[in-house]
Amino acid sequence: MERNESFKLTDPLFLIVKMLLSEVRSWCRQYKFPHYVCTHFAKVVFDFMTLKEVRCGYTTVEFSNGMSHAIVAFNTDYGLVYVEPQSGDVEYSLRVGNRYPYTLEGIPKDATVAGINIRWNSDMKISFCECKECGYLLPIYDDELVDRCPICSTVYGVFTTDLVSAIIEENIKKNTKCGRVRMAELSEKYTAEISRRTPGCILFLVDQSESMADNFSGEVNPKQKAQGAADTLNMLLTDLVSKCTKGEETRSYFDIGVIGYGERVGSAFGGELAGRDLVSISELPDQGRIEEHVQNGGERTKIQIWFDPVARNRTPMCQGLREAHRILSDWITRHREAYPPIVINITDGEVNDGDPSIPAEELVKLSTNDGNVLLFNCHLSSNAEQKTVEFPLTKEGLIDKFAQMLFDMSSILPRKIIEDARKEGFPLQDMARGFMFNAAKLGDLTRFLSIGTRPSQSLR
Amino acid sequence: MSNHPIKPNTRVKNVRAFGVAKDGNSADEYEDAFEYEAAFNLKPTTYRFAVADGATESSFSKQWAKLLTEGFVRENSSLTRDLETQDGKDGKVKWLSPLQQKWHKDIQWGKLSWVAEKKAREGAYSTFLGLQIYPKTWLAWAVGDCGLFQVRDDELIAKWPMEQESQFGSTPALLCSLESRNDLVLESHFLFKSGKHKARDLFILATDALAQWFLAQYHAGEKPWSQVDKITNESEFADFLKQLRDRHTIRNDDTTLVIFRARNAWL
Repeated sequence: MERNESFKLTDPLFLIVKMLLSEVRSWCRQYKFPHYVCTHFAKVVFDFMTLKEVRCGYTTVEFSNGMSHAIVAFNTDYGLVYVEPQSGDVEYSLRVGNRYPYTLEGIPKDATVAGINIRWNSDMKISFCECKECGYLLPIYDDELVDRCPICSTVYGVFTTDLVSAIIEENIKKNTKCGRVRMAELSEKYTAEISRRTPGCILFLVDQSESMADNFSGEVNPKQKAQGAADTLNMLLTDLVSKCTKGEETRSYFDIGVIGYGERVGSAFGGELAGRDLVSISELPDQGRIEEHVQNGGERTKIQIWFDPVARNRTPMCQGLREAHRILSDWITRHREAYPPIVINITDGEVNDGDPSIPAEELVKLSTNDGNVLLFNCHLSSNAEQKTVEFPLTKEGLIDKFAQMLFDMSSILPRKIIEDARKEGFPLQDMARGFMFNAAKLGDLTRFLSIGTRPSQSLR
Repeated sequence: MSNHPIKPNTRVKNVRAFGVAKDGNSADEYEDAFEYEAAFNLKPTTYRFAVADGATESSFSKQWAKLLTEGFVRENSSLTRDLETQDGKDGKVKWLSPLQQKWHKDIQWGKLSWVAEKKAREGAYSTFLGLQIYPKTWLAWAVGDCGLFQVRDDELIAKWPMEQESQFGSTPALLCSLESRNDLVLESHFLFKSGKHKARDLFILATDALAQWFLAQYHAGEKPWSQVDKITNESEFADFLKQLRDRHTIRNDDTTLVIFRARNAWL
């Protein structure tokens, strides 16, 4: 089939790249040497983008030790960015002479990038053929044979692009598994010690807008979302304070911030802590008030209340995220070696000061030497159609449009947290997102931040 | 334990035992524990050694680790025999019960803030390893990731209970100071092992960070026992750990070492 007349490759917006990546989900595949390696991952993304008329480049990164690795390049509104198709991560800082940000099998850690070779699809003659299985149009570059359908994965033959087969041959010759992004080693990030000398930082963003006065979905006893948000926050803080308490003392393992966004945007602390962006967790036990709750079974439990529900005005979430950016930029300059800050956003998602994914993207670009800022979203909704969701892998099943938006903004959970959670019998899938819908288990994530040896939930 | 049959702190000669706190913490924040004792009243005379590692994320775990090690080395024979019965957990419950009561009694509950009290009510947790040596044999009990190593003629002949450095993590099996929270641990994580020994055999007991380092070294073809066997006092142990910590070859954690050679003389 000849090229469609209207077919035109254009440089994408960064946001479009992210959206399309979450559609093709190249990272869900298993790396299997030599049948499915870095070149296959890259080609699937490259083909998919071509079909979507997105201009992109099949990129070969050459290393100082002579090995190569395949990724995909895009020229976006954020400049030239590279996508690692094995993880979905985006790299802005890939340069000749620098080290590659991930550990690759066959590439020593200290190997530097010796060359970056980009072959743009716009420079190739592109025609299409129809996949015999699913009927999808497959791109053919410079009249070469088709490899596999990026949609249904029907295999049509071996790679024929000279560049691609050269990499594979070279790697087979050297008997290495070059090109595999070692997920286990990705987890070398998010492993910094959390101690009083090197504390962590947890920043809560709390929606205090008027819409938070609506009722929750499907609750027997209707409860305001604002009350739900305050309960979630007070519970998370109580758990964190308890986690840091040793004997009679609460130790300064974390700096804690709470930013409200609604009528105003800023620190939500009251009392002696009023106006402060971040306080040490050791300052929290003396603040707030203690309330005794009687459970359904008549059991009495105490809970410390630092925050009461607030529901006023609009939802300036973008402003809240920018405020988080300001506070954490400053914190990071003073804590370069620390465990990356965690932002927990508790909201109904009905944002009305613009597209929050842009400031969210900026926020998670901040990083310490141990990894990027993590953004987790806790979505409280009135949408009764939407079922409860915890740490999903994909957007499938999210019918609520705000939920979809918040999912996209949520960080993929670090491997270390996933592994620790699994050890305690909490089944999290690889690449699960720090996102929940009308569920209150977000506290479990902070539980898995290790200060040291802790009693496993599964052993109790 | 007030009617203790053995005079406390009857030190055994030629045992070297040291503990160093996590780098960045002060010495009084050290939450490991170690004890050793000779029970001359028992026939044959037995020697007992114990190490424990109180869990960071629980309250009063230092006290609990200490109680466990003391409780092991200073108990009378019948309770140790209780531990020897591998069927059921009754003997273990019986051994732990007075230690748990003492842990509870030693806390000044009235002085705790509500959050401190809430945390303490969740109990203290600790790993534990106890070794009992008879003239020709040894018995050991362990919960969690402390390590026992036996070396003969410059060869490692026993490593227990962890065999691989990859088995270590932040959630090992732990003994709790609350009886109600020990069911699963006593049923399936209270491990037992026995072995034989000869004169000049080297025994090493270590808490997790050192045990993990030891196994990693061993699997890399090194002889880590020769390095630890050179250590003769606590400051040498601290220097040794500082070097390993600076090179990031050992986890920064409270670290404890008990090392001795089996000798005909004290058996």
